[in-house]
Amino acid sequence: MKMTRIALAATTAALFSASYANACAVDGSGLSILSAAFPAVEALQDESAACGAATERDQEHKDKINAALSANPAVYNAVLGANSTFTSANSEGLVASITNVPGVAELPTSMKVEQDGEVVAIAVGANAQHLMVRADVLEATGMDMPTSYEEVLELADAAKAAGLMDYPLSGTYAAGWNLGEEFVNMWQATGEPMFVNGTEANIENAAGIATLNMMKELSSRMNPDFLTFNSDAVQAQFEQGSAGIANLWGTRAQKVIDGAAALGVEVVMGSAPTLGGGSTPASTLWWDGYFFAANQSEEDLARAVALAIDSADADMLAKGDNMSLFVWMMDSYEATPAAAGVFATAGNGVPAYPMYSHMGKMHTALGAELPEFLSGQESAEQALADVVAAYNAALAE
Amino acid sequence: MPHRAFFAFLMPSLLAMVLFILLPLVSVGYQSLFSPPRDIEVMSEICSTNFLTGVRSCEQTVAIEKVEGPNIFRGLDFFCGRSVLACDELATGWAENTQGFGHFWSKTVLNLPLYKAIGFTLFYTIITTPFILVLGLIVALVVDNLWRPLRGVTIFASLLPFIVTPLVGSLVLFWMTDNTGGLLYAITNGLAFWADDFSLRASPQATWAVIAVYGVWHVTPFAFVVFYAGLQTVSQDQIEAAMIDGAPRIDRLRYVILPHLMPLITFVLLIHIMDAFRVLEPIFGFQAAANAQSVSYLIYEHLVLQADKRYGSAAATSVLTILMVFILLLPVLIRTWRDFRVAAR
Repeated sequence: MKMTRIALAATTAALFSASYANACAVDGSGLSILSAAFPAVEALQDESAACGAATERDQEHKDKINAALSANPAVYNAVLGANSTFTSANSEGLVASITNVPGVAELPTSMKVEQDGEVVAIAVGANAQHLMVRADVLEATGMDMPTSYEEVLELADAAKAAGLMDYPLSGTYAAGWNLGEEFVNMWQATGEPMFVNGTEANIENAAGIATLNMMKELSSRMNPDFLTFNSDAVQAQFEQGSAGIANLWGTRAQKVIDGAAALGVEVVMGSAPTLGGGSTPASTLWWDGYFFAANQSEEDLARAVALAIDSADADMLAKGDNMSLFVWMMDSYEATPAAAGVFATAGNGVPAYPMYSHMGKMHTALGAELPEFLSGQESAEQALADVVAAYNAALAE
Repeated sequence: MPHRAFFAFLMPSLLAMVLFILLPLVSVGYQSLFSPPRDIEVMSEICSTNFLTGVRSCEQTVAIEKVEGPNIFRGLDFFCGRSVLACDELATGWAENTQGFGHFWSKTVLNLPLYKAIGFTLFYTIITTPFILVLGLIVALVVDNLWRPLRGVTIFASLLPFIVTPLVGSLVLFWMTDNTGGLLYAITNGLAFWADDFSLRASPQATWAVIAVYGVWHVTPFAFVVFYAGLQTVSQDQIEAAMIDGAPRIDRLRYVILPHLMPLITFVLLIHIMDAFRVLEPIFGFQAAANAQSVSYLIYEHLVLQADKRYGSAAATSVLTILMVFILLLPVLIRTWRDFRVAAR
């Protein structure tokens, strides 16, 4: 585990550095960085702002990125986004290659995202959906932490039979993006490619049916309102004690632990389950990180990269509870208990969320066309055919 | 007033209408027919490394190379696309259908996003309208007959649902439908005799009904306040004359008050039909996208939820929305025009 890799020297240096200004090796004045607004990225943005950069934090930032980076010079020098937003900007040719920018070569391999051999983004944190189960559910049923979705079904039935909760199982099945993500997660566990011949959809097959059938099995054990459950709702169910089993985002783990602690119970964090005897966890690995506008001068690009690297350093990790906000990719990161699930999932070889330019269209089509299957109005075959038709329509436009 | 002076007065509003109404309409119409040239797709390879196992995974992906150039005329491409009118899908569905029109209707037509959305939008518009008119009138009459010192407070309280932002209002009602203790849920579940797995969020029927209830709750105050204002202008002489003639309350309402309010009823009808047809916020507030999508929601989906904006489909759907609103309003417009002609004569 990474826990052993404590960069003691760096941490000590950060703790004893004389003043904030001294920690700023880079002058950020005149630079601007766009990001989302959850605690982990805000911690990074605070570092950059302290060095004089303008930082814009906006949960709806994904809607701005491409338009802002299309301007010349771009409105932002850097974006602190995720693999989804990176893919969308990159497919439009708006992202700069930073291979030859000073400091990039020295970064750990896992922080370098590459395209055709060129470094195009700096990943700073990892996120994945993984299994969270309340310890009392395991105790009352006498079962072990499930490793496959088949075992999850058994555990859910046993927990219900034990009378612990009406609907022990929950999941982020809200129609739209969340549901699309659940399908992608489950699909990854089948090991089949989602596309063939470039952009041709490859989901109308046995793997697609198996994926949908497992989703249906799971959702039939959830509260009947499952098609409205986003991450907030599932987290709230853990906090209220109305759910005890879910495959939820790593960034929610700390909140789920805290919420359960308030009810006097513990939560066990484990790897995302497998499907149908496979070995790949049914989840996707996401990275959050910096990518840089192609439309800017070389000097600005070099400064923006230097500022990003300087913001995501041991210095930042040592401040407050920053260490527990994320599964950071920096060498100086020490894992906290909340990170155990993401570590287990990554250790089991979870694949990265696909960074195809056409993936967004597929994801949207899945989120829009699957609800009718899950609510029993449509067959699995029909639902998959509808997804492909919607995807092809988006592709043709 | 001389024509010159009339035009001088009218000019600023005409200009504003051209700028803010006509030009956007023309632009939407243009965008539904034209698009930038298609991008060239090139293969490239993207790699990332699993931070824990150190395994590098690479993917062949299609990157896009932008093509500069004048816009291309796409004809009815966008209108006929699956996300809009779905001409090909309808044609194939009809040709392959062997089980009668009902089967074609439910399996092909209602399986396509726009027709599904039109279904819900029409339902919402048609169901809410009579309730809003009748309830608005009842509330207005009640308040008008209320003891005077109580009126101010009552008017304010009755207006609240209309003042609350739609998104917030629908969220409040959404929470009340929660099946772990929402008030609305408890009441309706009681009426359903404590059925197992009863839910106000899981089926299209329940979702549609809840959103319609929200719509009536939200817009009734608007109808009420308009009708209440109208009631203040009813001629007391006419009312008194009717009373002297021995007309009971119901007849006074029917023969004096309602005819007096008729223009206002038409006004509320017009505004509400236009408003209802672009229903959007409750779908977010009620997390209802699985069971109810409106035409406006489809436009939003094309423009915002898509990773790549689908301006063509969005513009085509917008043009169709305008057409559909116009068709819905036609009876009311014709009636208004006829009244106007009669009045002018």
